[in-house]
Amino acid sequence: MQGEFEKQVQQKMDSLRLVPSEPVWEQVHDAIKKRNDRRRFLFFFLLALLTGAVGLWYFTATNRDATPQHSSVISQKNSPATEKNTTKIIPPATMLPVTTPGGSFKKSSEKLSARFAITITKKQRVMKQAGTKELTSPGGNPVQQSIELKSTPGLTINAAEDKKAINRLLPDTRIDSNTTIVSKDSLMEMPGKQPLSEPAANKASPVKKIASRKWHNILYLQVGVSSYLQGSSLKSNFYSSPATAGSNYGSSTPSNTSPGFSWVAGAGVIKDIGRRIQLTLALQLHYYSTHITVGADSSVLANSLLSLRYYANTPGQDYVNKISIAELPVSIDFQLLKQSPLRWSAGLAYGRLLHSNALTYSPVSNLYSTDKNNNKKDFIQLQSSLQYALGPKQQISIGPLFQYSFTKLQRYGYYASSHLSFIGVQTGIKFK
Amino acid sequence: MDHYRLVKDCLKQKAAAQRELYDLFATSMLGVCYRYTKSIADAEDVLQDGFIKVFLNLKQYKFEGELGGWIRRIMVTTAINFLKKNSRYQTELLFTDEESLHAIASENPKINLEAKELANMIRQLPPGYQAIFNLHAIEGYTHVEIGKLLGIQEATSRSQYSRARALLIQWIEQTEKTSAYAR
Repeated sequence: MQGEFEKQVQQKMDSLRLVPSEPVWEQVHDAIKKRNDRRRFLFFFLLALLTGAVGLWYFTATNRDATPQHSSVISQKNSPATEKNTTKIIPPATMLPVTTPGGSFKKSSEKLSARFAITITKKQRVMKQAGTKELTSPGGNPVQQSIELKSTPGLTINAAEDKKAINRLLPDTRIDSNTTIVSKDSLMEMPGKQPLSEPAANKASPVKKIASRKWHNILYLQVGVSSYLQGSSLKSNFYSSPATAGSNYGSSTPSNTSPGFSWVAGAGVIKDIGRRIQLTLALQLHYYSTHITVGADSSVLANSLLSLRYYANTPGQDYVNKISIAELPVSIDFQLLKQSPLRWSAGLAYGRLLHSNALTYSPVSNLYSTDKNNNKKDFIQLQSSLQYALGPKQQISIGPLFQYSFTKLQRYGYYASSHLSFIGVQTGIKFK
Repeated sequence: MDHYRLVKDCLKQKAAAQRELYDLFATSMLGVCYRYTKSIADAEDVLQDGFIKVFLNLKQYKFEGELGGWIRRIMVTTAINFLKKNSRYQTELLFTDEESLHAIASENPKINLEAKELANMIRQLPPGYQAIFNLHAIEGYTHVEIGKLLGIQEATSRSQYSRARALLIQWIEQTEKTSAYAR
């Protein structure tokens, strides 16, 4: 139960107003921003992890599916003479002697219209293959024999011609008009000594060409401009607040930052992980620069033990902040259109500071200083680019690129809320 | 801008809206924090922590009741946590009966003091008294709630409040008398 006294106190206290000092808002703003940056980083980190996981899954799933498809499979339909245990695999290779069931050898110069394979599996039969090891079946299990035929890479399968050729090469194997040939390109990774027993292998599937899964090397160069991206709200609020007007703290504004020249040189590897998706890993050296205007060297104030240099915040000379970072980018490239070699790339990069002469600005002292301990050493960056492939084999790419550092540039001072950014053009060359 | 739009914009992390919300409530909330602490620096620390909590938990505000009231509750809770965590306040939060009380002329004296003068008087109370007086007389918490909040018995809260109230009235009367003589 509140009495008259309490009501009076309450009214008086409700009317109490006190103006907080400006650093309170700065701290609040920084804390919220930091939390949001952390959330954003976590989001992109999880997104990158998810992308990586999906990419890996897709890659392994494609490989698993592709393994049986690496052979040409002849499945016999309505052919009583061969319907039992007859599967033929022929790895692609140069022309080799062909073993007939009777044990005699004959050279074959038959050229099939595409590389494909046949495996002959016959029950309780021992067959020898010229130039290769003997394949026996001690337990009476099906015996597999590999017969290698000359491959002709790059041609598409002509099923009718292939059937004829196989019939000529293997007269004891009946391949009639009901036989279906399935081929999927390279047999390099085929487990040649394993009979194809998977149901999928015996099923007919459309002819499909799978892109090469090899790693390619890439060299690239990027040129453009770099700058500090800073929260404009902080800047405007901080320096225009009536609460701080007239006080030393916050009454000074630092020099405007102008973008400077920036370049990147890098090398990496690139791999197809899907029909239109590529994974790129690289190592690059990134040079950033920005321009500010500073006054005279006031290092007379400097503590010689800390080897700091101070500059007044007055117009005078151009100072170039030079920052070099070693970066490890990981990105996923998507071919945007099926018919066009235009690719969009997005990824993350880890960066380690190699060198920096960037100045720190203190609004309190209104001075710039070269405090190396204030520079952050590790950076997490987002990068995105558009690349258009040129050349007969599309080995040269060119396009615009944007990079933004999630990590702030410095630990404290005016630029503690700044993020390094880069915009430029990239050109790269891909080779085996 | 109405509070609804302001809150929505703050939730979209718009810096201008966040600053506007801060400007709207910072002065009154610093008054709240001021009553619970012994120095303006401590009050600003509480205000800062309180506003960080406000912005990080703003999505929990369901537009039921005044936004100012919701923020004020956060500030009070932050202030109490600050008192509990801060060793300087913690030792003084031991509720002692050292204050000698004189007889007071009226149970409900008329207060002619300025708000800040009265706030400064409240801040002169021992921290235990100060917190209980603020919570009960100004925020309207019951002694049961205060007991839970401060981890003390309800009866302790009740008795401490009575002492704090009497002490404050005594100081107010003395100040009023001094002012009257001066006039």
